[in-house]
Amino acid sequence: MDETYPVEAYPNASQEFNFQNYFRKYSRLLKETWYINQGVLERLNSDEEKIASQLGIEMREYHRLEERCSIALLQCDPLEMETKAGQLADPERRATRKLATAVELKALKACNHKYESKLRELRRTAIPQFEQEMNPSPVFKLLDNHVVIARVFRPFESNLGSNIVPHMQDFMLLGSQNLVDFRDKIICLNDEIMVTEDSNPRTLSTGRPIKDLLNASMFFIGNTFYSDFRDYTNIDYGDLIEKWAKDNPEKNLGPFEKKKMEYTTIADLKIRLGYPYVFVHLGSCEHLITFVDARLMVPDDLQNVDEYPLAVEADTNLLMYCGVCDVHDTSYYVDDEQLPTKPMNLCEQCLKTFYKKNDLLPPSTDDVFYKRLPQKKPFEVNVLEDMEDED
Amino acid sequence: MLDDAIVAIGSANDCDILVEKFSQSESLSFADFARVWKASHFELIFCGRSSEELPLLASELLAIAKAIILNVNKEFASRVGGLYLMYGLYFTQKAKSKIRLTLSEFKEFMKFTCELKEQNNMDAEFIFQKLFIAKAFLFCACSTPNKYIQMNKKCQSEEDVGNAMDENECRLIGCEGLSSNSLRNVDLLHSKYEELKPQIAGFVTTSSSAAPSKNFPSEIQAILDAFKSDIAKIKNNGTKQGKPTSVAEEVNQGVIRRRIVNSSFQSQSRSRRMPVDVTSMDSARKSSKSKRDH
Repeated sequence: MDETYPVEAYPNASQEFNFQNYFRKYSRLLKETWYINQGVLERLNSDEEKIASQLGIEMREYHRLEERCSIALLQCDPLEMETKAGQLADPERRATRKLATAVELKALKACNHKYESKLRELRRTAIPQFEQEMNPSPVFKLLDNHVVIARVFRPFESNLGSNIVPHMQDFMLLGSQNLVDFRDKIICLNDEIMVTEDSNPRTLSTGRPIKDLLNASMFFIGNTFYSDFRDYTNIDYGDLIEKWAKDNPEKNLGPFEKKKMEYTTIADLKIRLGYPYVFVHLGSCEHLITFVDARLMVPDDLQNVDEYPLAVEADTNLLMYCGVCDVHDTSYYVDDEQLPTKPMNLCEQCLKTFYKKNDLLPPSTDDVFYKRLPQKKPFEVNVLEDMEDED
Repeated sequence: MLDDAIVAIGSANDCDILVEKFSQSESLSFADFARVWKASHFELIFCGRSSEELPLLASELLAIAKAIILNVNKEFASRVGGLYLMYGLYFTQKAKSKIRLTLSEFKEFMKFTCELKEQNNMDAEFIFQKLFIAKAFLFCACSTPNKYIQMNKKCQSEEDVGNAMDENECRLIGCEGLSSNSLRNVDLLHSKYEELKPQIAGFVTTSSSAAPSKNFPSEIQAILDAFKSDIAKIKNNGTKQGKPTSVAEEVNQGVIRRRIVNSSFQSQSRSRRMPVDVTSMDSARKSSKSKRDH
């Protein structure tokens, strides 16, 4: 795969990892150094005792250090806020006077559209927060398992390098899990296409989803096809592609390896982070996959291995912005020859600007058809916003 | 590190200044650091950000602090300042971001903690243990996973935060004092001055090193012209200033079309959700305008 898609074309892609070896080495080193006193720390209850034990000091000395290095020393005294008749009381103004961060942020916020675009991009692409333990264990222990975060994109035929391909799901996978566990949690709308024995559309409702009939799938990672052979009727996509590659030697593809998905774990793979791999199902439905992160498990992560892989679906509500201003959410579906594309989604303001004449919006006709879209559910309030408000 | 920052614009500068001020203090105690932190109003670093940005901002700031600690070219005092900065950022952040360490970074960090023990800096050792016992560290394969989520973006010129400053630079170049008319006037005045100078009694012919060059107005004009053409090139090509493009970048029809559209609509950023056909849009607008006029 590296020959067809050279790594240089993906400058952000990492080196190749075999996570099992990498994290085994890392764990061993941690246990010999920072976690060498793990046995002692496991038996202690409070963090104060653990720190004192690590430093080899008495609790009295600990409390003295705690006072000397308290976070409270970094926090602003409320009385300091009321200085010079409130001139510098506003935190943003104080920050702008002192911090380059605030000045550059102000420059960015001065161009509102760019700031909004940036926030929108963050909302759309940031790695989500996966489900965590409600009450993480306080026991101080290095966990052996590792987690890998993968992103599965929507299927597309060709984007000519210009449009951004949206992703549909993010997964947190355990290193010890099989690829079939990952495959089973990938959701694609094409799987739900109903098929019947005959082509009569009236019997479509009694048909079955196509995923029940076409189970075959495969991952192509490195130069290896990992195919799903759980069902004896599944065909080997790797076979077909290998045959095609042999029939077209000028393409310089292969040789390929073939393995079974059900016997391969995430830890066995050789992966570059940030490099695109592919998942194929239903014959021709292709999804790009990237692995974006890998790390040792922590007590905050869900400890019940049966819950994995954890999946977070991308919020599709975010994708519908007005085709004219690209700032506001769409409210109207418009079908008009005069618009650049047919149909087009417009926001309320742009619709009124374009169509309103003498303060009246003309009714929808066959030539100029517009319809108000159903109300979307409101955004869930972020917990962090609540914390900020409380502060 | 600076190139990887998505949200933390300007922060590396602030952190460097804070740590340099701390390194000039007499002792390496946390109390000295706290004094410098408060004098710099560093508690305001999370100010003015929307809640979507806060986790990523905290993550990037912690990465900047980590880079200061692991920078062996810096003085030991600055690296200790980096550790204090990391502690301050971790416990004052409004999110739950952690400090990421790859295997190679962990090995360097270990050397640093060993040096702390040798120097017998109890404050720094205490702060490190506080972070460690609070499980602030994540042992991972990559330092900045967020750079991988932008794999689709080959041309980042419109969305790039750095371009906000390009506009400010353009405003500076375009300001009245540096316009070509003003520079022409300066040139006239300067040449008149050069003519009158030798007529003064006791005039010394050899000019001092502090005097400006005789052709300084035309030199300024040449520099401004070069600057303007560089900025125009950046906006047309969609590349970051000073950064070479990837040699293996695929130049396909979609990308060429995108460049043409970008050069036509330089002052406005466009959405990439739908491909823009400029000619049909123009003709649609013209025909709608003519229809409405009738």
